[in-house]
Amino acid sequence: MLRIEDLSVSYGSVKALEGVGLEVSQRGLLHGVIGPNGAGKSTLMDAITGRCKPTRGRVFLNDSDITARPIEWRRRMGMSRSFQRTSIFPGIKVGQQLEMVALHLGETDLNSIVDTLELNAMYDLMADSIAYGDQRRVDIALALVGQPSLMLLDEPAAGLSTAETIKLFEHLLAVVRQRNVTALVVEHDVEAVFKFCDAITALDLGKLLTTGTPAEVRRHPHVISAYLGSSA
Amino acid sequence: MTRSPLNSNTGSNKFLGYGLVLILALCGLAIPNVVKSTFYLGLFINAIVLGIAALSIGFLAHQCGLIMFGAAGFTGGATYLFGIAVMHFNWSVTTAAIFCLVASTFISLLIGMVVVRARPLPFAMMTLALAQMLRSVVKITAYREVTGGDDGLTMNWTGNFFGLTQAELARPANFWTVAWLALCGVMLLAWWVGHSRTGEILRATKANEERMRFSGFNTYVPRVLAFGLAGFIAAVSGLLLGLHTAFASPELLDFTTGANSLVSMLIGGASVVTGPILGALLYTVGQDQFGASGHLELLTGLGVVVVVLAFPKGAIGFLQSGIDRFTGRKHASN
Repeated sequence: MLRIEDLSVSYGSVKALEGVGLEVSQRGLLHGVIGPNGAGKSTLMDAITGRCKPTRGRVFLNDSDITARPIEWRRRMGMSRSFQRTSIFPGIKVGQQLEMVALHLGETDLNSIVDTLELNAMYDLMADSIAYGDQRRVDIALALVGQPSLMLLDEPAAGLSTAETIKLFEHLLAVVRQRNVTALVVEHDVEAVFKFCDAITALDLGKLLTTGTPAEVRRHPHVISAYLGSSA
Repeated sequence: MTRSPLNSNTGSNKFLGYGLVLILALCGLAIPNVVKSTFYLGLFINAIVLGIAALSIGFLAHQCGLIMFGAAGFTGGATYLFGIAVMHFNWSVTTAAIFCLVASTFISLLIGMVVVRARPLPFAMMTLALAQMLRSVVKITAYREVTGGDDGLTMNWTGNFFGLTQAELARPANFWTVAWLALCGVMLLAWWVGHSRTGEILRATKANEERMRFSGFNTYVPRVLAFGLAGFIAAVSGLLLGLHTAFASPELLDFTTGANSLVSMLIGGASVVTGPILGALLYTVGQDQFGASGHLELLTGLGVVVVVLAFPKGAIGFLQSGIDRFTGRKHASN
């Protein structure tokens, strides 16, 4: 489904991402991406989705090279994303924006997204008038519309309490299983990632450390030294 | 799962609204029978011409979040196109009018393809630069035969426009019908586009363009189309001016002329299509009153500052919030 080869992104002399390769082939998975600050997690998301241009390397979606494709094209081909800072449509009702995107992308089962993410109560409310945690779920709902095969979520739990984070990950797990979509999730809350994700990729200083199951990643010596610390 | 419909207007309410608007539009045709003063009728016609130009700015501002500083280029440019078609191509006035609208819209689309890529401030400045460039072009001595240079282009035509001769079009009582119908037409057009799916996409793009792109929408083409429509509306204003005054001058392309439309839009508000029209009416009447006092610019400046500070959403926004408070309704305009 997703394959990235030798992906590098530089901002001037700063190498934000260096020669990263990754393959995610199975659908219906929650795939976590972890790493300390400056590891290149968000840059990886941006480079995959076309928000920033890689200086080197290629991105493949379903074996098609999409490196030079525009954002909207990637979205229509089944790659969606949410953002570190909630990205919804302020001043437009929750339901109205979901319906607008659903109509455009040919989504026929908006109700199940709304039900799964528990957005019924706020369906007719202005998106900027609802609580922050609810806005995060609207953001994810917008990424889910249109039956994407791959969803990239950049710190979906940012700014949420521990209880809200757990609830959000429960929602995510339900969504990826029900809709058979794979979610690549960048998250700072390592415990949540290890608890809920089926696979994990660890980055440090723009380089890939390892990819594997939570147990494999937790045992990886580079991950322990670079990210989890000796207590992990 | 129970959800209320997104549009809370019931069918009968909508029908009532449309009926009311139609009655008002028809009543407007009878204004020359009520306002007998040629002076005031002329003042109202000026307000309509200014209001349509303000509507073009307001449409783009409300739908795309883009402020056009160089609206004068599109209104004045259309007046010149009309004049050139009549005087130099020797086309009939109706053919020249159609040419003026089609060519203006086409040029607007071409310009839009470049300028809508810019952020709001560079966009505003680019439209202003284009208008100022056009002003310089019409003043170039080498083109004097075509544009009239500094003296402007005086138009003379035979034949008629929807049954009205040039002399009749110059009379406010006769011209009123043309101006009023044009006003109703462009308001209906702007309202329809605003309520269409394109309008919805434009406003969502204004709210969050990045999310729109990440939702699979092409955000460029709808904005080019919106710019083309704004250019068309501005061209209607310029055409009306040409038909009524039979004269095009470089001053029509000046920033101060465009500023009148911009200020009218600010006074009236841009959230609904009636806002810029109301603003233009208030501005035109205000100009007349302030002019009589001998302190036109001072009082205009003061008036604009007071209105913009006191009514940030314009006169129409103030009226709307008053009505909403009275009826206890939450209003969602587009």
